[in-house]
Amino acid sequence: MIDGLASASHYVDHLGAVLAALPPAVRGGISETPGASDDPILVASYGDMIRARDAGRTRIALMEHGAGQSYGGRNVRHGSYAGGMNRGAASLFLHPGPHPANRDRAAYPQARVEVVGSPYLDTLPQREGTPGRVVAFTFHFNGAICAETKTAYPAFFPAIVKLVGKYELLGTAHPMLWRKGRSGKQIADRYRQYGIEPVESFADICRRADVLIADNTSAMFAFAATGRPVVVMNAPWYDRRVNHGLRFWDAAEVGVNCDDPDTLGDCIEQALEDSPAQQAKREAALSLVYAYRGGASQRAADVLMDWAA
Amino acid sequence: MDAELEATEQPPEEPVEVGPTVTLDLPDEALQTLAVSQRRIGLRIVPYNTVAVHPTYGALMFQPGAFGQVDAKAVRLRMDHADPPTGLGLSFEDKPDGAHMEFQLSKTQRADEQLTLAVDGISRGASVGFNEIKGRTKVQRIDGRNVTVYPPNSALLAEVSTTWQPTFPEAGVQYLLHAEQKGTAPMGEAQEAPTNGALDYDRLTAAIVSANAKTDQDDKITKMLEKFDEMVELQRSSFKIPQGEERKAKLQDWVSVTLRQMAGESVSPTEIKTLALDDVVIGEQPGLVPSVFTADYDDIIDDNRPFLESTREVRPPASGTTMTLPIITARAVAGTQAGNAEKGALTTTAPKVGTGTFSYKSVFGGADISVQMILRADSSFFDLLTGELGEAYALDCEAKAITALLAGYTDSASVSHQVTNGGVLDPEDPHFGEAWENSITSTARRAPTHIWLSGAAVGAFIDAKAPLTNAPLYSNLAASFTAGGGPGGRLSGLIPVYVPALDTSAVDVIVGPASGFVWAEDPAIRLQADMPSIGGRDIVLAGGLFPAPRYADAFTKYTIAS
Repeated sequence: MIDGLASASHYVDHLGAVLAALPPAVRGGISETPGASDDPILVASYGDMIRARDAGRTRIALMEHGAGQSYGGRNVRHGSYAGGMNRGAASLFLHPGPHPANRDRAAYPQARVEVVGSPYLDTLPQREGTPGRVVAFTFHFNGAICAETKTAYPAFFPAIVKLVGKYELLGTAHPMLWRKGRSGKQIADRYRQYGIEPVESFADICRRADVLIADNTSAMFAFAATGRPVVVMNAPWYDRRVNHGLRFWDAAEVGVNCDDPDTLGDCIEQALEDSPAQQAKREAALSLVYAYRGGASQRAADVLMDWAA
Repeated sequence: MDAELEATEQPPEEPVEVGPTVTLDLPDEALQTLAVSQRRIGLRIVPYNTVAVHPTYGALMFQPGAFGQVDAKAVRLRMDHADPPTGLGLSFEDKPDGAHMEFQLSKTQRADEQLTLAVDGISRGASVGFNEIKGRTKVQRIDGRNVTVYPPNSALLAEVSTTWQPTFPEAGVQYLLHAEQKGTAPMGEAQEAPTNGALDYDRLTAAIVSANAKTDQDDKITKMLEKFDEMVELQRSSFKIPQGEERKAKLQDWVSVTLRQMAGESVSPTEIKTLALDDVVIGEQPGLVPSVFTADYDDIIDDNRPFLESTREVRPPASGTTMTLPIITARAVAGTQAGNAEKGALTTTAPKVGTGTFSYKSVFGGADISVQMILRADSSFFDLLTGELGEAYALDCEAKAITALLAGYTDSASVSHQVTNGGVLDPEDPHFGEAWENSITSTARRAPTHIWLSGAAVGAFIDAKAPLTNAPLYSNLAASFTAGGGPGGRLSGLIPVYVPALDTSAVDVIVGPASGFVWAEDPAIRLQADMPSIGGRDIVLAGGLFPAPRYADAFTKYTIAS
């Protein structure tokens, strides 16, 4: 049996697609805590990999739960990111594209590193209903790792508030930001305070939104992969001289880049137009992130079966 | 002498007329000889041809034969011119350097004192009392002043006294004969025997030369040479045979010898003894770290266990692989009176105490080295290896403790004690209030005291800046951060501790009360080699820990990345 371990719901989203593609005979369940077992186990985060290791698991597969963004431009080596420290407990890495795969391959030459695409894409719904002017936005949590992991919220949220009434706005956020704070003082409450509908589920965003505004999240690539436009918010503290790859900055043209919050409305309009040139840039960026645009779940399952055999 | 003045008196005629007794304190040591056992003392009572100044009679000088024929037995010896007398003259001798007398001391307490003071060098001067024979003195101009000169037969010797303040500088002790010794020897040398085994050759030579100058004192020379022999013997007897510095057993030497033994090499008893390990290396359990080295290992290990060192250590159980500790599962709540009735019942909650059972965790600090290295490496390598093993052991202790804390447990009352997940910590907006609230409302009922940080978390706090001013938010942390001591200062009152084990943990930050986590350590630490038959390549320092996250629910964990 191949088990799944997920300490957060958004990890479950990624694992579920892969485990569903496994033959029922070897398909294990997804649990929040690792049990002692000799069975191979699939995780979608660094923290869960450590938990599995500490529980005595020796066959651990670590699957990227996002686009594989890392921050090598500033030599960030936190284990949460591809190529980071202390990821050696994993003997199999599953990545959506070549960028993170190369980093882990270089850091852990003894491990098996496979590029399978993003299984999560297989599960994302298409736009439901008639396309229109529904604008969703999301923010990253205020990460302390480096300037590019910080949220763009302070710079851009006031500009978003000004758009209330002009568009149908759906507010979401990175799961780590969504749940932060005491009840009543979370970001959803802030959205609600300004007349913005909070939407936690990214799947719901995919069902309803025509354009996604995002600062730094794999969700922008996932949304773009559904064939819809995005707006890329560049916070003033993001440094264009520092190249981390992917979002910063090789694949930043996945959407209309907005450097000035005052121009956010114009950027949204430009994105909604979704010109052929813009579509071409989107596709070029997506090709940097995802080696495959479909079938990642089965591909990952096949690799898992081979690795676990 | 500048000039000889006219005599003031005519040569004496018999009978002579004598003046009043003059007492002249000689300004230096007059005591010449001491025979303590025979209670004899020899004094140079006055030096000849030496000017002395009397406070009443002015400058005086005696010439040889000044006292004429002296009946020694008529001369009394006193001490400081005080009665009763202490002895009687034995002999008088006119020598070129002065008038000498030997006295026999009586067996009186005062004479004992006089001898003692002479031996101790306190009263070594002589004071002579004499009567001038009128008309036989003369006044001479010497060195610019008038001096009363006593030519031969010009004075009558009345008495001699020992004193501590003599007038003539040349007067003094000539020799000392110890009670236990026979013969003569310079007094000073006898009293100042070289207790440290060193000879004062200058003083000894001076004494011999002085003795040689006196052709009539051959016996003294003989005795001095005997004394010289004694002193040489004393020096020889006090010579210490070099023993070499006592060697102390060293931890790295023990590691080296033990690993070589585990690799199958026979280490000679001579080498073991040379390394001072003969009382340390044992055959039954060669890898068991001897108690003599426990402190050495503790020094290495404890310094590298910041998490454990900041929490509470308890005594390990005497036996078994579990440690059971009492846990307060429900705190006592003071009663409140129901309703308004004066005798209404109080609603109270009794404290409930359960137990928590915590498992023994093996701890290892390992290294992978070749048998060639074990057999051939220098001692300094084993010093390095020892430190590495200790640090690795400490890091594993920390990792096991952190893992146990994050895993939590369920106590005997089925109360689950789990660390609260605080999500991602934002140093710019840390929300420590949640951690405080979580801690104070836990079963521990304690406010958090510490914040344990990974390296990345320490860096994040140091780099945290105010969004608008860009000023450091934790300047006290940054200013106090040192490579050796880790972070200092406070974070919202919490003591920051950098924990290297968190660098390989699932979390970056833990906030909680230090007393909420306790631990005990197996005192037996062993050095083990996995495959001694083929060279013992994997070397481990093995021990055990009882990590007890007694109030794990009082802790809050965070990451700084996702």
